[in-house]
Amino acid sequence: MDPTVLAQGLVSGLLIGGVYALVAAGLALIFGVMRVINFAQGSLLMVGMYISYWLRQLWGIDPYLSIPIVAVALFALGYVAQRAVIDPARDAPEHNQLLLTLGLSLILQNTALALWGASFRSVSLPYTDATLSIGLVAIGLTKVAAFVAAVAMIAALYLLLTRTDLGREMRAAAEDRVGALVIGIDVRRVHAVAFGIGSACAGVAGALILPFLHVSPNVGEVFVISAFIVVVLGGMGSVVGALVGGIVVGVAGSLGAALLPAQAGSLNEIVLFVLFVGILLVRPSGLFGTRPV
Amino acid sequence: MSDETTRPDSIGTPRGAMSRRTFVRYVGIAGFLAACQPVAQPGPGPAATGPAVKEVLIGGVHPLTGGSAFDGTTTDQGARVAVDEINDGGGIRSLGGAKIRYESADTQSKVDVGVAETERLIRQGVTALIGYQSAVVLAMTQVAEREKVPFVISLAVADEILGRGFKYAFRTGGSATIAATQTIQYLKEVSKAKNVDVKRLAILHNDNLFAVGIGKLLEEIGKKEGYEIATKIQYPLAATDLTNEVQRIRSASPDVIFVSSFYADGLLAARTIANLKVDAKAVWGSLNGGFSQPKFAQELGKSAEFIMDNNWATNERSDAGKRLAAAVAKKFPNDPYNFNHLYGYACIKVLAGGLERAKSADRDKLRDALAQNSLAFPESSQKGPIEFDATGQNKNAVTSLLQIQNGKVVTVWPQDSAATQPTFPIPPWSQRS
Repeated sequence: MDPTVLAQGLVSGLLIGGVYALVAAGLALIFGVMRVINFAQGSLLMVGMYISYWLRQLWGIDPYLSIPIVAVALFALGYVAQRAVIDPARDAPEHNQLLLTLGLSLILQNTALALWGASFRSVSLPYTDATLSIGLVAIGLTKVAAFVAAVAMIAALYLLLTRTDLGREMRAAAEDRVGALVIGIDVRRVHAVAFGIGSACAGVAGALILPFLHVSPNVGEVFVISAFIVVVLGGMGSVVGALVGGIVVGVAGSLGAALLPAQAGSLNEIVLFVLFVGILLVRPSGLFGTRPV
Repeated sequence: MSDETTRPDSIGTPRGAMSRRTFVRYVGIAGFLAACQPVAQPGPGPAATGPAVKEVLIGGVHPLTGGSAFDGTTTDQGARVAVDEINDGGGIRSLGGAKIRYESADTQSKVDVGVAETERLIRQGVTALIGYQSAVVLAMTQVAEREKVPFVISLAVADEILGRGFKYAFRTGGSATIAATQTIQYLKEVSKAKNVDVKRLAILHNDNLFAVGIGKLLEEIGKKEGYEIATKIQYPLAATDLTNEVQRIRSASPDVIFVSSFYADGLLAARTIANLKVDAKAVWGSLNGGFSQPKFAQELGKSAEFIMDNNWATNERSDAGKRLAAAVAKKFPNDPYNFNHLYGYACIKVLAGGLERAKSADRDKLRDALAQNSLAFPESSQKGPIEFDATGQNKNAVTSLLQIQNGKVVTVWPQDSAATQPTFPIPPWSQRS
């Protein structure tokens, strides 16, 4: 075993894990507050990538500077989508709500396909190839930036939930909708805001990966699957759980690519799912879940 | 809420309407639904042939969008140049100057879409089809064979395509076996000519049908020719990161790194090799989707320098080759001329030759004419004409060794058609500016 390969696997996995965590944190927030599984999370990431891409192509705005614009745009998209599509079905059975988000996802993907085609697009930036080398281990600076920004955003989300009135309202609405209504919380507004913030998390993750990844209408699929694993792994509705789960999933996938027999290349995901099933068996409520189910 | 301590960041409710078990179940159901693809309806295939032919309809099914969009689009452009050339030159003479009408369809680089488009074009009554991209052509030729429609393949090289004894499939380009055999042969010749010792080979390829096939052939033929396979690594086509794979290659310390990939993942592989500063005597593609494209050299800049590729090539010394490159550049100034143009062009020329010989737009007569046809192909670096063997393979197809030198893709081997000498071994990263 070459120590460089092992070290590279750990570092690469950790960095991409931050992005997984951010996508999953948005998913966890939406699920925690509204009990809705948002299947459109990957498509929202794709929309964030395209917004950032076009800001760069049309007006030369750096992807990192586009983050506030993407966040606001995706918040608005999520807020409106919740009010227009999800909210009318709030008392419908859960599977109806799930199908609504799946439909939303298909609408977003096919709109992107119709507007921009299925081709891969990427931005070229002066710092695309900037690399930090420690011994033989190489670390792309754009990946470090994505990790740092993702963790910062998760921290901000944590503070929002624990330290602000809005956060308390969200947690109250999550714990008992009727109770929250009784004490005067506008639960419908809180739901829409939560969906908006969850969407913004996905959009920002999209802007963060644009400097090192091609964008296409289907790009979200890779991330949405990992986000579901992260959420179940980390404990549902837990933001800290999403962070830890994201890093675990990132590192597991990366070590799979680094250590599995060379011919097995595409079998990396086995590592991930074995881990997933293992954790569900040992800790069915996830790493940070609060109660067994 | 007595003893159930809720974590401060936890926003789940103990009385939540949905349990995690339900969550997992719904995720599973939704995943299944998302994976369901519409199934193409097979339709009847009326052969639109009449006694007086004014126009011959030929369909092109290429990936105009998706992962192989660049290759597909430029193949399609080459076909259009040939159609214009034939129509401007008086059409098909043996059919009283009948014009070719070319209808283009987009496979989106997807098998199911390609099959559906093939069926649609056959229902529209095309006399013949042309198409590209191994995995999709494998399925499309199956439809064409069932409906008895001649299908001329450009550069879909998978050996499986013509390995099924089909009667209606013909390939103007080479096969994976031809390409892999010549890759190892040129490595042997170049290292001998340059007096460089090469023993250990690394093979990096994606998990698509085409690249898996090339990877396997390089391993088999390499071993047979006395090389040692230091490592062989397969990665998912949708990979977002190849750092781990490239580190593994470095730790195997190969003399030559072979890469078989499409454009986007080839770019990622080459970029990662450059960023990790992995030194080898050569980074060498075998029918790589990117390595010998001018666009690739442009996009990757200095990191692309010295990358080699065994691939189909235009004969840069022949007048016919120069003329075709100029015609394409004039009609499609936005996309750089490349070998996809050459083979898209060849497909239409082969069909036109077949129609002349068949003196009919009947699909079966055209098929028989194609099987016996012989078409000079001076635009390419192949020596003899395009002639098909019993399986439908062009028997004279050859690859050239190309290398990116000073930002340009140039032919460096075999010597008699080379524009310049190969740089081999390539300089280590520490000695590059």
